[in-house]
Amino acid sequence: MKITGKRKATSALSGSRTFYNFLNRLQRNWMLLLMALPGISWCIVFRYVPFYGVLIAFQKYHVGDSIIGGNWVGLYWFRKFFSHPQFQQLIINTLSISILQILFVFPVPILFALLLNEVQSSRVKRLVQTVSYLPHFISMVAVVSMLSLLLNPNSGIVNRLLNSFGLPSIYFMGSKEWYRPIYILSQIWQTFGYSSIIYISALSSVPQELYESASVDGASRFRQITSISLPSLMPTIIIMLILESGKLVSVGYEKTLLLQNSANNAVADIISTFAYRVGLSQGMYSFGAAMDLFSGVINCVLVLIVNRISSKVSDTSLW
Amino acid sequence: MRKKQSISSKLFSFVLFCMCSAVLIGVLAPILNIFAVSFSSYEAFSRGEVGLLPVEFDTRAYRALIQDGKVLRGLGYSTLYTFLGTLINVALTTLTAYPLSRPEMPLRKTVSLFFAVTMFIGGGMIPTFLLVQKLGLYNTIWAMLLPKGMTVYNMIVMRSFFQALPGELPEAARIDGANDFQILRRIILPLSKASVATIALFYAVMHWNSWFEASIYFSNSNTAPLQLVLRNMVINAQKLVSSGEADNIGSTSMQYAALFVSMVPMMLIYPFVQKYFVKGVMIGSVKG
Repeated sequence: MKITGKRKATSALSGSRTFYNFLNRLQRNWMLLLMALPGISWCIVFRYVPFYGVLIAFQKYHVGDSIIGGNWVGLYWFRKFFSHPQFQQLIINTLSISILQILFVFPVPILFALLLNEVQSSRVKRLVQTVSYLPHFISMVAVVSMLSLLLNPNSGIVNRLLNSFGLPSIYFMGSKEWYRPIYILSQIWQTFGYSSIIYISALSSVPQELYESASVDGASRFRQITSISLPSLMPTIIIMLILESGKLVSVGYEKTLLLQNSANNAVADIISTFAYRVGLSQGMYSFGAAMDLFSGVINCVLVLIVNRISSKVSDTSLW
Repeated sequence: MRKKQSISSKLFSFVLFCMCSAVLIGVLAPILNIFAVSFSSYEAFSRGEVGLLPVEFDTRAYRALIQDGKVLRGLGYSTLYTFLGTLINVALTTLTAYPLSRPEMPLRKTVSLFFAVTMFIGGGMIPTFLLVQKLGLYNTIWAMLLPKGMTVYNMIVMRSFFQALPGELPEAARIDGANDFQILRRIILPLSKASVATIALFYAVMHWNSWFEASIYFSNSNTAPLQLVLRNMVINAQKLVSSGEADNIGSTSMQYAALFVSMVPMMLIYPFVQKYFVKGVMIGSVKG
């Protein structure tokens, strides 16, 4: 009843009608809001407060300083980063890995899905598919451990095999030349099966009659792939490719941190691992935060551009 | 013409056969080699005789591993972090996703946007690290649990699960006098067991496989999870190996055993949970 009184008092103002509606809704559904409160508080503390902490990128911050009254230095750390002797190499390394991923990692699940779709026996199909998911469930640490052990110059099986063919051992993990091939090949191993799920399910929705009539017309199975399967995958491929290019500067730092060592560092080091080393290991928090912010901003812009393109090309957008 | 067709179709079957074998061998052979070395005698391993099956079956490496104790302790801590972490995740995720799935939720659009924004921008590693320190979580188990309290992406997947349920259910329950907490607990959750299980699995794998947080939030390795133990034991040790030096076969065998132990739990459960993961991927992509 109190509400109705309020309604009369405020109905003269047009804007307050929506406010009244809101209060009314709140009164009936406050419990839903209460339910979301733990999640909202978590998000404020662990997602928004760090965002405010980014301000240290514009300060000379030492542990224990307050951010509000901090020692502001403007773009000092950004200038320092851009003029850093390693800056150019870091950008080259980061982009190389991303571009190599798009060229070599991206097409594998598509090829896998196209070929698997042609396998007649459903038992073989299921077995191969199940096995292909397995690497997705093996942790990054375990994958890099596996690489270190199997590629070990003395006891690893790969070099044992090389030796048995009369070839000399190669110190794969400690060489600049092998860093990128190892990164990309292990990336394929880790992701091809799991990434193929989306293509396999897209293929399963292609009407079977298309294949039947094509084979009546004398199309070979290879021809059926290029003329039926591949075209029906095209929309999915384009979306995935666009999404992938949005990640151009965000190479996963966990894998790089685990793979890098003093021997391959010149080609391994990327922006995020450099930020980690300078920021956390050496305690130059402001410098590290500035580098993080730099790649974060580029990322954000890329995602926006990519989303724009995606919604134009395919009516599919992220939001 | 007919003959040509059959040759090309035979060739095609051969290509398929090669692809299937390449996948099976390529995925399984490295894992089998790890398994084989870990169960072989040190002598057979140092002679380079171990391929895909154990030679001179031996559990010495595992006995050494148990005696060392680090891996067992890591296993214990990983289980603890995974269990508690997943519990927190599932609670926060369902409590947030359910209200956001209801059209009558006040400020629904605003709150959704508030969460969605954090998927694209964030403070980054260093401000988060400083926050964890400021909150006094450094060197506590909470540093492993709270910063990963929820994944916004999973919450949105969960929300679309809930949205797919018929909207009349909560409405009818409300008329019968149930409040929102009762509706969630008695009606919505029992109907979404499979979806909650899917999300819980996503979270459990994330916790089980995480090591980076432990490496920056713990100053000593007493409470390290298995993945961090493995990194210290295998990757950091292997970084010191250089070509031409003979390895310490005993400790290398132990590294194989530790690696195999760390892979076994996930390899045992994944065939049973993969269909949920496939479902989760599909829902995430439809929502996209």
